[in-house]
Amino acid sequence: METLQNVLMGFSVVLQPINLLFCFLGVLLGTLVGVLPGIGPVATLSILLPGTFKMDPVTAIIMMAGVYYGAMYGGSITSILVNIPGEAASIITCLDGYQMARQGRAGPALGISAIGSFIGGTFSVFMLMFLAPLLGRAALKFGPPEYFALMVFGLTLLIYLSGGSILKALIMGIAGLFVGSIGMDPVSGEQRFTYGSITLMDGVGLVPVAMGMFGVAEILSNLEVIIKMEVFQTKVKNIWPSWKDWVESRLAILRGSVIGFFLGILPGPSATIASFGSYALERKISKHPEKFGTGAIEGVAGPETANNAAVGGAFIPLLSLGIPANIVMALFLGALMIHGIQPGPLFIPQNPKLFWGLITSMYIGNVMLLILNLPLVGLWVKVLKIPYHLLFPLILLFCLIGVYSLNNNTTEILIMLIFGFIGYLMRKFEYEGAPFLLALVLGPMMENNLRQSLLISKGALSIFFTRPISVVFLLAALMMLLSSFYHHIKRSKRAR
Amino acid sequence: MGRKDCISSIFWLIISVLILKESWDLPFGTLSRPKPGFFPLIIGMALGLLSLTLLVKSWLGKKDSREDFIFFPERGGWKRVGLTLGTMLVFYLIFESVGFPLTTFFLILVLIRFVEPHKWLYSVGTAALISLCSYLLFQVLLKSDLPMGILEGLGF
Repeated sequence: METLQNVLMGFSVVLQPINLLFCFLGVLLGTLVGVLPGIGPVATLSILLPGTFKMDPVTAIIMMAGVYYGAMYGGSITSILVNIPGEAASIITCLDGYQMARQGRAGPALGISAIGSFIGGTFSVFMLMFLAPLLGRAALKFGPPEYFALMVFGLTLLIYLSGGSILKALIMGIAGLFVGSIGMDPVSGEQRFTYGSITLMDGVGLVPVAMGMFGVAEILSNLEVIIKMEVFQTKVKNIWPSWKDWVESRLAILRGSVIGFFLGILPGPSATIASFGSYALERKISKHPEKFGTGAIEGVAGPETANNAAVGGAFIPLLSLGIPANIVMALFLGALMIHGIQPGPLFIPQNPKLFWGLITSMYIGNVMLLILNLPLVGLWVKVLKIPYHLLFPLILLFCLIGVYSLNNNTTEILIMLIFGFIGYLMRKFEYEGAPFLLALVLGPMMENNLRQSLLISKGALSIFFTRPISVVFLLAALMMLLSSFYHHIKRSKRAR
Repeated sequence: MGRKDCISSIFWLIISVLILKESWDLPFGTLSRPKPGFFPLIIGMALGLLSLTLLVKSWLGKKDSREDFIFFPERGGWKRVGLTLGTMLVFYLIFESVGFPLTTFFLILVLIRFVEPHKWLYSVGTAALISLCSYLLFQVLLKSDLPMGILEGLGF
C-alpha cells in the first residue's frame, strides 16, 4: 500500500512537463550515443555533468538515467546492422544479430531487441522499487568498518572482473586511490600533492578525469585507425516479431531479465557482464547450441534483455549504500553530490521525490524507448551515416566547453587533456580505466572510513575482523585475489 | 606482455617513489590517530610492490611472448593523434584570451582540414557554421558564461 502511494507520488513528479521533457531528451540522447560507435554513456554523462549544475536535481537524474538505459537500446542497432557494437554491452549481439540481418531478418532482430530491452528494463525497475528501500534499511547497521570493507570488496570485484591482467588492474586501482588523495586532507586541512596549485586544493575532479580518460582518449584511439562502417544494405522490414520468434525468445527474455538484474547489482561493467552471462546461459541450455552464432534469435533476445535489466540492478548499491558499482554510477554519485545530496541508507527516506521520481521516470522512459526503437528505427539507421570527421570534432568541442564550464577554469581543460593522454596510453599498454575511475571516487570515502574505524578501535585493526559484515566482505575480496593468483599459476604451469 | 609491461612498470615504479617521497614529508600519525600521510604512504608502498612484481614478471616472461611493440600500427596514426592533441592544447592556451567563438573556429578548422583532410573551402565553411551554432547554443540560448576574448571589444 505504501509502495503504491510512493509510486503515485513518483508519477506526480515525473509527469511535470519539465521532467517529461528531460526524460525524453535523455532517452533520445542515450539512443543516439548508443547507436554511434566511438562515444558511449560514460563520455556523454561526463559531458552532461557540468550542465546539471543549473538543473533541479530530480530533472538532472531523470535525464542522466534516460541516457544510460537509452544507450542500452541504441547499442544493439549498430550491432545488428553494421556488426560494430555501439556499446560494450551490445558486443555479444553482433554474433547472432548481424547474422540475422544477413539473412534478411534485420527487422525481427531489431524488434525483439527493443521488446526484450523494454521487458528487461521494466522488470529491473520493478525490482529496484522493492529492493532498494529494503537494502537501505539493512545498511543502517553499517558503520565505518563495514563501509570500508564494502568498498574494498567493490573495488576488488571490479578489478577481478576486468579483462586482462589482474596485476595491471590492481595497479590502476591503487593509482586511482592516489589521485583521489590529491588535495586538502578532509580532517586536518593539510595540502597533499598540490604543489601550490589552487585548482588541485579541491582535489582532482571526477569530471575532467572521466571526460579525459573515456571521452578524449576514446577519440584519440579511434583516430589512429580509420573506421569504415558499411551499413548492411537491406530494407529494415517486419519489425514486429512473428509468433515463432516469440515462442523461441520468450524464455530467453525471462531468464535475461532475472540474470541481468542480479548481475547488475554486482560491481563492475554490469550491463556488459549481464549480456555475456545471458548469452552463455542461453547457449548452454539450448537444445541446439550449434545454431548460436548463425542467427539464433535467443542470442539477441537474452543479452539485450539482460543489459537493460542490469541498469536497474546497478542503481541499488548507489541508492541504498551510497557506493557506486561502476563508472556510470560514479558519475551519478558525482551529480548527486553536486546538488548536495548524499546517497546512502538515508537517501530514500530523505529524498522520496527524487527516488520515486527516478523509478517512475524509468517506467515512462522505457515506453518512450520502445516507440523510438520500433517504428522510428529507420531514423537511427540514417544517423549511422553521419561521417566521423564531423562527429569527433563536435564531441571534442563539447568536452572542452563542458569541462571549462564546471568552474570557468582553464586548468580543468588541462587536467582533462592530461588524463586524455594518459587514457590513450593506458589503452596502448593494455590497462583498464574502470578500476582507476572507481578508485578515484571511492578513495576519499575509503580513507575517511578507514581513519574513523581506527579512531573508534584505538588503532586495533581487529575491528575489521570482529564485525561480521566487515569480515564477510574482506574475506570475499581476499578469496577473489587468491583465486586469480591460483588460476594464474595454473595457467603458467600448463603453458610450460 | 613483455616489453610493454616492462616500460609501464618502470613508469609506475617511478610514480610510487615520488609518492613515497612526498608522503614521507607529511605527518603519519599513529594507528590509533592516523594523519594525512597515513593513507598515501600505504598507497605508495602498494604501488611500488605491484610495479616491481610486474617488472619482474615482464623480465621473466617467455622470449616468444616479448612481441614487437608497435606503438602506431596504422600509417599516419601518430600524425592524427598528435595533431588532435596539439590542437586541443592550443585551444586551452588561447581560450580565454582569444575567446570561445574564434578558438572554436580554429579547433574545428584544424581538425577537419588536417586530421582527416578535406578541402579548404569545405573545412572553412564547416568550421564557421559550427562556431556560429555553438555561439548561438551556448551564449545565446544557454547563456553560459564563456569568454568572448577579442570579440568582447567589438560589442559581442
